[in-house]
Amino acid sequence: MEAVFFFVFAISALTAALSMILQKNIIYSALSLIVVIGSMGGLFLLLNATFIAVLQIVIYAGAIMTLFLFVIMMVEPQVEIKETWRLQTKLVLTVLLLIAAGAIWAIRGIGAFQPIIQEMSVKDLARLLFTGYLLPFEAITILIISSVIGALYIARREET
Amino acid sequence: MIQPFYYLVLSVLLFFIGVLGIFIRKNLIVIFLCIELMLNSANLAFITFARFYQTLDGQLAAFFVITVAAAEATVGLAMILLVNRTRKSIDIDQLTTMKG
Repeated sequence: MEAVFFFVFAISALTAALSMILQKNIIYSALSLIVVIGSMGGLFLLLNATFIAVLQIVIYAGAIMTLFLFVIMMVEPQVEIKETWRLQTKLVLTVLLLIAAGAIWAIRGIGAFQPIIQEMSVKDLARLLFTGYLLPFEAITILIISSVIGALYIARREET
Repeated sequence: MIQPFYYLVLSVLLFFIGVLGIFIRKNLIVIFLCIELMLNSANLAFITFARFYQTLDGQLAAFFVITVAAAEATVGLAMILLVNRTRKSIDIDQLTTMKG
């Protein structure tokens, strides 16, 4: 049963990712990314990360992608020039493909998942977040506030 | 039971698709979407290892990646709006001059 869910989510994530980079209309690209994010949320559920799966759906698919869609509607539609497969591009992509193959080769003998010894709940996650990871958490709050202020400053209209 | 190897291969493939998109597309927004896809594939690897080692640190790393991605998306999209307003284009091949 788990295998069925895994392959459904994996195949939908891969096809939606391919459709994201191949669509000509950027609205369709953004909608494909939402499908990828939803499938990833399902995979996180299969990996026992319920809280992160909920965050993935609420923050990514809910907030970030809505922002993307608003911005896409605000920029003018573009006529995209047909992509050119230059020699450098092919060369770099070959190297990257080799790196990806090497990464897959390096993790081939990782072994199997052990059965879960003790259930990790959201409570444990929160306890770890507010004890061991308190400093990164506070840094993140400062980062988010400064990014909001920065975004407002960058996107303001010049007074003329 | 699905092996962790399959999750990691899926993560590598999604990351590679993101890199491919950055190389073959000229639209600034699609490149931004590809960056989000790559962050997501890294999250999948983090959570796979969190499940593999049965700790919560990997899940917290994914949590921090999601929050940083949200901050990055707000600033990046504001910059895309600004570029579109001043240049009337978000094609990266036309953003050639440094002159604002």
